Amino acid sequence: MMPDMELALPARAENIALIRHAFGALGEALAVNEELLSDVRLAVTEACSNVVVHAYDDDTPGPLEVLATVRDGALTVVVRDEGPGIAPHPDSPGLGLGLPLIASLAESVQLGRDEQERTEVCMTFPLIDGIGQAANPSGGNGSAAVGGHGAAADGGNGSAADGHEGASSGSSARQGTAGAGQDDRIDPTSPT
Amino acid sequence: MSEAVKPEPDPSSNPAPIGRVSLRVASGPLAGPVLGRVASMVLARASCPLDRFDDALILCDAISAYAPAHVRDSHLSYTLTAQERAVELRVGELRPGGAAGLLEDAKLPNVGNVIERYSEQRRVEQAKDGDGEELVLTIPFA
Repeated sequence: MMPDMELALPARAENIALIRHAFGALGEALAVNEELLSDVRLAVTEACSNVVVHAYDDDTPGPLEVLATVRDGALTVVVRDEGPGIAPHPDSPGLGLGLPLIASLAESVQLGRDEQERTEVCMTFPLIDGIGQAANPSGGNGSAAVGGHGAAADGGNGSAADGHEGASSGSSARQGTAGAGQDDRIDPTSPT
Repeated sequence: MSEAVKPEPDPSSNPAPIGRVSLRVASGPLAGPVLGRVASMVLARASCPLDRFDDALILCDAISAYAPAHVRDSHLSYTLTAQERAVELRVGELRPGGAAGLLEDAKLPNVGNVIERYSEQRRVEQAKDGDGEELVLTIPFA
C-alpha cells in the first residue's frame, strides 16, 4: 500500500516542527476535524521526539521517516528510524509518558520493525463521520470517512489497519525490540 | 577571580539548516498544501527573505497545480535542499517528457512562465531508478 504522504529528513529536534506543519496541511486538505488533528499531531510529535532523543547519537542524527496513509476511514501514521530499537531508558530525561500518551491518543499502536529491520511506531486514528469528513487523498470524489469508530480512551481496543495484531492494554508486554522480528510487538501502554 | 561566563548562543540568530527533506505525496488534494507547508519551513530555516519567500510559494503552487498531469503514476516526489542563499527543489516521478510538459503548462497569458520567472538553473535529469525524469530547479534568495 503506497502512503499518501511520505517525509524523510534528518532526525533533529528542529525538524519536528516541519513534520507538524506537514500534518497540519494534510489535516486541512482532508478536512480532518481540529480535535482529531490535534491528537494526530501530538502523537506524531511524541513519536518523532522519541526518535530524535533516543534513536541516534547526539552528533550524528540519522534518518527519520514519517508515512501517512488514509484508507477505509482511518489515518495510519508510521514513524520509522534506523536506530537500535525501542527499549526502556531509565536515564531518560523525560517522564517516560511518550508511548502511553501515543496509545491514549491513537485507536491502535504497534511497535516493531519493518522488513529492513528499521524501528517503526505505527499509529491508527479513526476518521469519524460527522466530525471529520475526509476527502480521497488520491484525488477522487469519494469520502474516505466512515462512522462507527471511536477512539479508545485507553488506546488498546482498536484494530490494526494493516492486519497486524493491535496493541492491547493488559497483555503481557515484551520489552525491547532490539533484534526483534516483524511480529515481535510490544505493548506501549505498559509502564517501562 | 571569577571565571568569564560564555553567553549561550541565540538559536534564532543563526538557525541550523534543516538539511535535505524528501517528500512524496499523492498527486491529489494533498500535493499543494503539503508542499507549501514543507517548503515554507525549509525556506524559513534557510533564512529566505520575505519577498523571495512569497515568490517561492507561488512557484510551489504552480508546480503542485501542473505537475500531476505529468506524473509517472499516482505520486509526486519533492526533494528540498538548502544551499548558500538558495534552495534546490527537485520534482520527481515525472514521466518521460513530463518536465518539459510541466514547464510548458506553467506559461500563463499576460504573465509568462511562472516556473521560469521564479527559479534559476533549471535542468532535467533522468530519475535515479531510470524510469522517468526529474525537474531540478533552484530558488534563489538574492
